[in-house]
Amino acid sequence: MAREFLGGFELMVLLAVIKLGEEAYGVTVAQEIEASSGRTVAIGSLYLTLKRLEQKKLVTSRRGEPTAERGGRAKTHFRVTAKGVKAASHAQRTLMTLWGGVRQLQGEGA
Amino acid sequence: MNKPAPRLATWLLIRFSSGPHGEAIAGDLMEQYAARPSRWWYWRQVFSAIRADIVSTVRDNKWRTAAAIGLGWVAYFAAAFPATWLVRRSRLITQQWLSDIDPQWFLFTLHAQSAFIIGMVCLAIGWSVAKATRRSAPGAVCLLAMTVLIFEYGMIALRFATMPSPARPLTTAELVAPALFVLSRPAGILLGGLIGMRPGIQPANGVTRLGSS
Repeated sequence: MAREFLGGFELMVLLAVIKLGEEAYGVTVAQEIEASSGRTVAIGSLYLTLKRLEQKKLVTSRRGEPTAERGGRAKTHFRVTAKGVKAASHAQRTLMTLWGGVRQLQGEGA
Repeated sequence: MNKPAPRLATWLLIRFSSGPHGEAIAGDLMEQYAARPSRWWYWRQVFSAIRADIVSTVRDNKWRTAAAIGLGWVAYFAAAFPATWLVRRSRLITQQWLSDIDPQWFLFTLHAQSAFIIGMVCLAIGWSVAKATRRSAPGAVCLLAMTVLIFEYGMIALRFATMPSPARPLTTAELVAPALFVLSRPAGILLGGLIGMRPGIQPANGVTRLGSS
């Protein structure tokens, strides 16, 4: 079966979910991406991406408990699957291979 | 004490959410609003979440959405005849009552009256489409309203392009009023859709007190 490619934002979200582990939910994932990329993340787009990752079976979700600070709304926690870890690792290898072949970027990443 | 999040924005988000994570999105926005109480930011996030949800729902239910839009258009054309009859009858009554007022105001009143009647008919169409489509209702209603707006403005442009030159220059009211009152059609569809949609998020701890924790 052909391997699916991850889009740029999909990869960022997947990596943030992996990094956050048990703490991964909408707000923390958005903060993680904002902190590392300097890019403002819209919650709506983030959930759209998380839904896509869920459909690809790269992450799973579970409903948490409602809290008062969220107006009684429950969190949805996300966790990476084994397939998700494999996809992130494959994306890393692919990007590293491509980076290695670009002379203009040699030495800039260090 | 934290400022409560804009209630209208929250209400719209709840009404338009149809995806599986609607509740989490509402909660996340509330949590972020508590740390960053900017109404402008909150409204932008809500619109972005609604747009993302609509795009996703339409993508997942392409055929159902297309069928709902088709059904809406059939209802729109079918309702055009009784609605036009009703508008003409009401115009006759208005002409009898308001025959001695300023012509500009008279024209405005006629347009407003027609816009109200047609808007109510469109409200019923929007409501029916929302009831018929359920999960894909937000996308279907928004796309129907958008296509009606494009069609009606296209018709106005066509009328202006093909009509013979008037004997006197048209007044601002004559030019602007039809274009303005055409908005009652998509607005009616959207409002009807909003009333007919089943909220994707169930009320938790009282929806009206959202954000006032």
